Amino acid sequence: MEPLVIESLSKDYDGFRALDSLSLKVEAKSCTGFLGPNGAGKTTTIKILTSMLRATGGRAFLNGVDVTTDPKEALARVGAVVETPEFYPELTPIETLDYFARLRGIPSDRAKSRVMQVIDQVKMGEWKDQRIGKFSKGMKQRIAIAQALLHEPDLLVLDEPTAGLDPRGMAEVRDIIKALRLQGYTVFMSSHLLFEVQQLCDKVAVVDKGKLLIYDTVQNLSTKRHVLKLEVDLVGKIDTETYTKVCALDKVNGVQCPTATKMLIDFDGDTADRRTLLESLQRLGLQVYSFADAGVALEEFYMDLIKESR
Amino acid sequence: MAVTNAETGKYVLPSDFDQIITVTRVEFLRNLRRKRLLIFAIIIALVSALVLAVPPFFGGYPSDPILGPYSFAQNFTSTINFLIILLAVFYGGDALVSEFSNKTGYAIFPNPIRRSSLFMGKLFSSLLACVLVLGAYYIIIAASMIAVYGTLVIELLYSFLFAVLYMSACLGVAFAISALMKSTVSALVLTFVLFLFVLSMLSGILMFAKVRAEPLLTFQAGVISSFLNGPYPGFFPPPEQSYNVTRFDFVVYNPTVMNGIIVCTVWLVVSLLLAYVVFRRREMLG
Ligand SMILES: Nc1ncnc2c1ncn2[C@@H]1O[C@H](COP(=O)(O)OP(=O)(O)O)[C@@H](O)[C@H]1O
Ligand SMILES: [Mg+2]
Repeated sequence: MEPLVIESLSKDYDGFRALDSLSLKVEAKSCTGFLGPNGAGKTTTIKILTSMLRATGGRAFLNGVDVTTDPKEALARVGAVVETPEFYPELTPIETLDYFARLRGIPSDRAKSRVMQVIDQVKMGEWKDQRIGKFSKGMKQRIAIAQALLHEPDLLVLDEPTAGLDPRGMAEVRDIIKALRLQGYTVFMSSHLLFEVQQLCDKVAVVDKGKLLIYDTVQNLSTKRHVLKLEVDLVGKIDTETYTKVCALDKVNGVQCPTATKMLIDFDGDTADRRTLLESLQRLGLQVYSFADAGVALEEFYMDLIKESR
Repeated sequence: MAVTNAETGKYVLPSDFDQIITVTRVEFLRNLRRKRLLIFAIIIALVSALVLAVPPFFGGYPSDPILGPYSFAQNFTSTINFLIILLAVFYGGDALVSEFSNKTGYAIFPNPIRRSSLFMGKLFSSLLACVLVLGAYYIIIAASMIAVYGTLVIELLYSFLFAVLYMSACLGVAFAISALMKSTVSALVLTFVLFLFVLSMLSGILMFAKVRAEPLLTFQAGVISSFLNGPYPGFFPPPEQSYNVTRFDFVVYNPTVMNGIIVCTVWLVVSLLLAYVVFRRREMLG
């Protein structure tokens, strides 16, 4: 059974359709990126999953329980971070986490050590007995992550976990997520940053205007989708004749030359084709000293996807 | 009680009742931390000191052998409506709205807990704090009465019990406003204005127009001090008293115990139901 199953979920805000019959299944032990530009409907989806919004239509199952009808049971083994939550300013991190531990049924003797454990995990040990009222946004975000991990949930739902943090905070949160993946957590995280999803996730669901546009592995997106862009650096300049020959090579869709010693090749083949291409280039007399994935193709693909849905 | 599920090894969720207790405790701790209890303790201490300190300068405490202790206690209850309204405003006004306007709901709502349990926990914690303050005030009254007259009258207990009922109704109204409003400040201000101006002013206007303000909650507050008019029921003020002062006659309406209980209970039930339904359905927007 998948830890998260979304079935044609819809949400209207006063007649505006923010979520349009979205369906998605998240596999156990995967890290699924929920990618989309601002206003795509990511937070709306996650708020429905965490019983903050009522769906206009559809259902969502968390560990097999429909959250739209039985939120208490459905959320039992889920940890969530939505937006940047605030905590009761008059309590300390220890008291706050102890409160959540009690609500989730962790017995008090175990809760004590577990609370300390997650506080260390998010590096808040130094602040554990200070009132949260004076904490910065980044510190609150760490407490938010700590409370999501407290009960070792089967599913982690994170809404733009790095949004609003400074670069170091972002890197730290990404490291925490990477570590969680290694520990075997199932993670469902939204983001508007493609590279973040590429870096952290193995699957990606692209959403825009409340609709699911594509759902695949990150790997497949760049290979199967024929969207590889190769960056080729040469010793010596390329001439028009060679350029025409390169364009005519097998599985080459287009060639741009930003400078006379650099080619960007739109390539539509697998790794074996790629090897053949390199040999062909050398056979043409080109002195290739660098031949690599330009890494921009997925970005273009993503932009195209979103443009089409607009 | 099993702590973990034998099959899955995962923690077993506490019952709704256990969660309500947990919420009540934490909300009460928050109340302590926010120093509101301390401020109310100071308020009742100051008011008590004033009520006790002033009479000796103007001929001493009431000396009537029977009615003395009653009017002594009644001096304490002359400001009690204001105290109760303050309690309702500060323990009810922001209780629910703050989860939405202060964004703390983003942390609380994803927990496996029913909104109804959160609601009950918050309500119990606020009630507890209010009853503590009110109880402390009545204990001061009782202790002073024993110290000055060497006696205690049962009507003080009646007065206290009615005060608790009236206060609960006021708290219910504050909760309803808190569930409905968008911001914490507007909830506090609206609750305050509603009780102190709207309801009180309406009572005054209606009295002037010779209409009994029976359905108004604040009208019923009078029962609290009416109990201390003298031995109950003989001295309890009549529902209506007519006065004629030089060509100008007017009527004073006094609340009655029975109607007081009914009206307060209706306000309590209706406002809490409204607060509950709105809070349960309210979405975490923005
Ligand atoms: N409370 C609201 N009232 C009206 N429209 C809203 C509200 N919240 C979000 N929206 C709209 O719904 C759409 C999706 O928003 P959201 O789920 O927050 O997007 P994302 O998290 O992907 O940036 C947006 O167009 C947004 O303007
Ligand atoms: Mg968002």
